[in-house]
Amino acid sequence: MSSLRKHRDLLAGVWPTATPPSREEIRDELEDHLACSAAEFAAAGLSPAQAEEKARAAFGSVEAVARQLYWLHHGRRIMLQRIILGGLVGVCAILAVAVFVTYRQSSATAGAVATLQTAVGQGAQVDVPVRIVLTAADGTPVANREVYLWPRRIEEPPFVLPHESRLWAVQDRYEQQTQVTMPAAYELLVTDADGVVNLGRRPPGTYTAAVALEPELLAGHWVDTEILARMRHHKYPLAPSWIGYELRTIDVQLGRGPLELPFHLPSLERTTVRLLAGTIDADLGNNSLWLAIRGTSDDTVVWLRGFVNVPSFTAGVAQVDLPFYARATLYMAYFDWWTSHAEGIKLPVTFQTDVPPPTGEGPLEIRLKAGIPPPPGASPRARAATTRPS
Amino acid sequence: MAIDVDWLRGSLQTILLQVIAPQASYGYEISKRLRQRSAGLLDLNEGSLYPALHKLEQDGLLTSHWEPTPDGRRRKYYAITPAGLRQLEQKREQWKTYRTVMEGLLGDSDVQPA
Repeated sequence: MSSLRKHRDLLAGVWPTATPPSREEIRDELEDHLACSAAEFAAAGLSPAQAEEKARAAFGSVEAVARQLYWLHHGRRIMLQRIILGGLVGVCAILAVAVFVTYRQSSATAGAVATLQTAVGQGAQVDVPVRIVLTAADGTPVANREVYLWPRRIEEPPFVLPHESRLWAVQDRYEQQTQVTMPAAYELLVTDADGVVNLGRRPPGTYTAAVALEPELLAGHWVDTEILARMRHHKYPLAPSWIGYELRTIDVQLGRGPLELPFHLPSLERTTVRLLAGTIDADLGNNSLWLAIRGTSDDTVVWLRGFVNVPSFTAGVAQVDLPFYARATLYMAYFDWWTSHAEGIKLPVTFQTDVPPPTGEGPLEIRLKAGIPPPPGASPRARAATTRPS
Repeated sequence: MAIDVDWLRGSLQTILLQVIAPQASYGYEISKRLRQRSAGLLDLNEGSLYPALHKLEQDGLLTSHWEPTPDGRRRKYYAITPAGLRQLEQKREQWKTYRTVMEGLLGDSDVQPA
């Protein structure tokens, strides 16, 4: 059979041009045959019963022939109907699963985070009044600088969602006061357009951040920030060869009493943190549980140092380097792969190094230097995003 | 001698076209004509006739219509279509060629068993 004819037959199965015989017509045709045959046998002298029996014997299975004929005319349509129906059922099933998973993931994430927050004693949101005064190092007020307030969440980094974080900007003013509502577990981060000055997790109050501006920056060039401030602030050398660590393991048991577990670690030590089986009953759905360790120190930029994907809330291990930070903080976050939504909380578990904490004397200094100008029309947020610390 | 069923299966549609070509007919009558014209050598199960008839109709080589019978039933008559006639003519030509070839190959009766 030619290819053209095959296609023609296929189309004829989908849109039949002639009306195929019904079951009744097939049955009538076969019954007529049997009646004719029986009449002939009867005319030859057989009784009606014998004639009919003989006619049926000569014919074979009437039901089988009827089925064969019906399938001959309707089989292709029936198969196509089954295929289409099966496809529709499959599509509906996929949609239903997608809707269910989306709903369940969101609710599971929210429920798990709420449960965990309650378990570690962190709950409702707080209002943080913030007053910002920008000054140069000598205390001179600085104008024409944009300042952003970032309720800092566990998403950044590695979960960078800057579009959710930007709250407010100051322009052409050097002093601004506002109020930020954020979860108690968050930290408030204050940045200029391309730098980072972290106010840390603060109670309500008034804080001052100072930036140092070099004269050429005022000519309208965009700036690239070199985060030397923290290094200078803490007087640690910026060198890649500082790592001289030894392995050490800390086990953290969640959900069993207070979690204030100060660990005094030697400086420059690589530490493995194991999150053991918890007693928190949280439905994770298909979320991923991330264990993150962040090194931090007073008023200085934070830095996620390690994380691990924990498929279930049973056990997990994160390895972290504590290079020059005075403290490290344990975080736990849920990441929903389906919706790309991340939610995290800070666990009150800190790792204290033996290095004396930085004094933080004087205003925090950020050194700015000229860099690649931003593309025309780029938003301050976009520009800031391009210069975020990795 | 009965005819090889494979030969019959391969030629059944052509035979049916040939039987129906002169005059529209119904299933039982077609079956009867086949028996008569083959002198009883075509020992065909009557039920196997109908799938072949319906296939010919589905392929457009036969057409059908219903007529009432005297005893109140209805009867399906098959008639050959122009396409069926063309097909029959082609098959006839093919058969002639085939017969010539086969007679040339098998007609010699001088072959002796070893």
